[in-house]
Amino acid sequence: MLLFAGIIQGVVLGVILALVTSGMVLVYRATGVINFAHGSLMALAMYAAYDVRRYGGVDPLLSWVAVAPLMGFIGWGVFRWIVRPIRDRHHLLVVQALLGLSFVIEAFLLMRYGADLRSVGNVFSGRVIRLMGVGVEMTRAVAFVVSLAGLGGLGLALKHSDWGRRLRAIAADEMAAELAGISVTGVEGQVWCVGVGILGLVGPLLAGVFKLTPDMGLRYTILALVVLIVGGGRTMAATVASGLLVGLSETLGLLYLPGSYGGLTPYALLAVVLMARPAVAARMVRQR
Amino acid sequence: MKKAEFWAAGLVVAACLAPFAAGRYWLDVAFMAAVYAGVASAWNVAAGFSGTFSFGHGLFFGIGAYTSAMLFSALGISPWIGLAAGAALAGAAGAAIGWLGTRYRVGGLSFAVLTLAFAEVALLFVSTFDPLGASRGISIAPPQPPGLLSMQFESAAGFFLVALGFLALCQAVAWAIDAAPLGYRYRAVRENETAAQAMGVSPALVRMSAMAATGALTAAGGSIYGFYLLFVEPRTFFGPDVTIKVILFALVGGIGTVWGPVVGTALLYPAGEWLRAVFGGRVPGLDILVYGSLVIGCCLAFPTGIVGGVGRRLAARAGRGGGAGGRTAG
Amino acid sequence: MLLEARAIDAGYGKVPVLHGVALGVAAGECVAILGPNNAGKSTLLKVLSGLVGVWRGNLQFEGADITPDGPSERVRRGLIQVPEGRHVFPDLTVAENLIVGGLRLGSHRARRARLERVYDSFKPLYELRHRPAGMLSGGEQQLVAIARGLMAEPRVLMLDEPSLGLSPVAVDLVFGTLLGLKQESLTMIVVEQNVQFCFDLASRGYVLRQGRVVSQVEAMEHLTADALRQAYLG
Repeated sequence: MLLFAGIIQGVVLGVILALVTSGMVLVYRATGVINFAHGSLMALAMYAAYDVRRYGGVDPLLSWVAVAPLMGFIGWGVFRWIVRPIRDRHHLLVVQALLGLSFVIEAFLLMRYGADLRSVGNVFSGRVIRLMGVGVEMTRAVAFVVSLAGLGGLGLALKHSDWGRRLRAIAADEMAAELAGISVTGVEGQVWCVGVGILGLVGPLLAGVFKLTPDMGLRYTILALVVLIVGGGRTMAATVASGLLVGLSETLGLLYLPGSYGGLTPYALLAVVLMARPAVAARMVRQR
Repeated sequence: MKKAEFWAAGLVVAACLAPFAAGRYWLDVAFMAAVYAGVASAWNVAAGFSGTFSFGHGLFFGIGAYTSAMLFSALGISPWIGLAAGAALAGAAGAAIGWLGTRYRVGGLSFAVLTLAFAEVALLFVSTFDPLGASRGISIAPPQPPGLLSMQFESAAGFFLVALGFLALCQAVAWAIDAAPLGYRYRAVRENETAAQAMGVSPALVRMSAMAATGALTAAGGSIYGFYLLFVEPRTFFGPDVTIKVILFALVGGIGTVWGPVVGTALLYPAGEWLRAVFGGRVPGLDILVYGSLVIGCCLAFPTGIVGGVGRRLAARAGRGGGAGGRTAG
Repeated sequence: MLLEARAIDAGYGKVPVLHGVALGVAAGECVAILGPNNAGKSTLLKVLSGLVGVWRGNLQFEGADITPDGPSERVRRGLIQVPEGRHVFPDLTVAENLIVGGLRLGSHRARRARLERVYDSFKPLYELRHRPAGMLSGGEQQLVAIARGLMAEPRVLMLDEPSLGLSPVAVDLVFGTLLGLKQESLTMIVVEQNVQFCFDLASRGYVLRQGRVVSQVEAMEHLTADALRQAYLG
């Protein structure tokens, strides 16, 4: 029974992680850049939901309507003013600039909200729903459903819409895409907008699931990076699979390993996957 | 060129002497700057020279600090021997990671992520493992009597001199690798692994030796910092902060050059401390905000690094000496 | 003239490649660009398609100045380049490759109609439409690249080394396809190392050497072997 409960919790966490990572995956595929500010941007979105709740009285389950476009705009701006000017230089330079951005966000959050733990309640706070006999926080369940829907939508868009075809075309061959009349920088800007905009959708939801601290960003960046690499950073289906693996390994690790050694399992998984799947490695070397 | 070297030497001497005149606070800053400069230089030996990128230098820094701290606290072994032991252990760990990376063909950015995974595992393990103090860390009783032998000093000047010695060692290693035939092997692997292999250079050997060297040097820095603080703790030593900082310093100064990491650290680290002194006390976070903006600004303004940009200009003036040397040594 | 280049200087970074190149293409003709390796032929095509910027001189297309336009604007005008080698989108299926080529046709219906017409003239691709383009043979990939260019309803189709690296059978296949397009009087500019290929396809030619137009061939069929050797070897 304990195992079963762990699996349910792990699946819920895994799907949520997959949606958090999906934005990073889109950005990586289209522009070859790993967004090291991803987690911090999510923290920003979560605190934005906190403010909307506190000053506007709007429930986080609704505030994403405002937060998502805001994050989308920020994502576009990050690409336009930070990534694009230096992306042809050393690939670590972009990494470093994005880490710098995550410092800035973290510092801003510290200045504005202080170092205290915060959480954002919503209408479902405190309620528990039974999934196949296992108690799951209602907010988590909602985030799970939204994540599934979001991932499904993204997967379909990537596969069957013109936008998805453009994205895959520039990911495959920038010059040929340009010659097919696709404005490559235009699409890249859109992808950053969507990739970061997704955080504006999940952030407010997760603000009711995870505790908010200004320095939480880096941890989520690394977690998303683990999911991205385990999944190979290409399709939504693979990202979901990898999110499930990471979510399950963390939940079950915490359940069965003594102390907090369970936190180790996602990284052990990452190390194993990196060494067992040279194809992923080879692709990442070839990146611009 | 001669004149430039003269001025550079003068600047280095001035930078080493100035902290003594500036008082305790700046001596502490200078100590940290020297440790970071050494670690940045060590990171650059692997990343800049051989293209073996690591995001997990916290692993080595932590191994160095914890090995010497444990050996001293538990067995009373001299910090210097602990430093050597830590360096040996971290060197072995580096070589092992280098071997794994080559064996399983994990290259480029994924190798960096692999090192990050190892560092995170180590961080979480040490934070949980009780014999190593778990997340509480270990306090070190000050070795007696103070002096060079016990790596304990009453004034910050002593620590600064030890850190300068460490930095000099790192620079000597970096310079030696850069100038020696080994340096050409490193660059060959960095530029094109397959072609290097075809020429008889073993990427495995290059990655392993580079990771061993960078690991051992970084660990030595960790030991010195540990005995300076007299306290080791998982997040400070195994955490990602050290790595993020040294990569930044090396990138801004100029990756792949012998002096770039030192120049980058000498400019950025004191700037960060100054910001903290001026703003940090009044508005928590403001200093990090300014510092982060500075990081972004540096990346946008010096995309090839300070020393990198200047070095290229000098090299262009001096002609193609390096290319001819490469052929004889290859 | 449908497309006209006037006194073009262009290059990469600070390295000049083209010096005062002038060229004109009338509607319905097929023009070959000849010359030895590194003469600047591919660069010239990239200048025409907008991948490489112009330093000096200007480009006219259907009477409009297109010099400042980027590649996507030129594609919208119908100036389409089929890139050299096998620049298909390997992970996309053949059908998806073609759809991407036809993105400039606004409506779904126009695209569908165009797709059917292209499949009509590229029967083998219809059979392969659900395969990822990266899995096809070299000749098939080249056909995909050409078909993708045709999807945009080109006013001018520019081909960079369409026979490069193909087996003789595949070269015949590509050649036959291009000949068919010529008979439909599609305006084409072809850069090609395979001399026979150019002979049979193009009506006129420009000879490029070291970034300059050194001679024009007014009638390809009258080009003698000697003159040709002259063109390539100098």
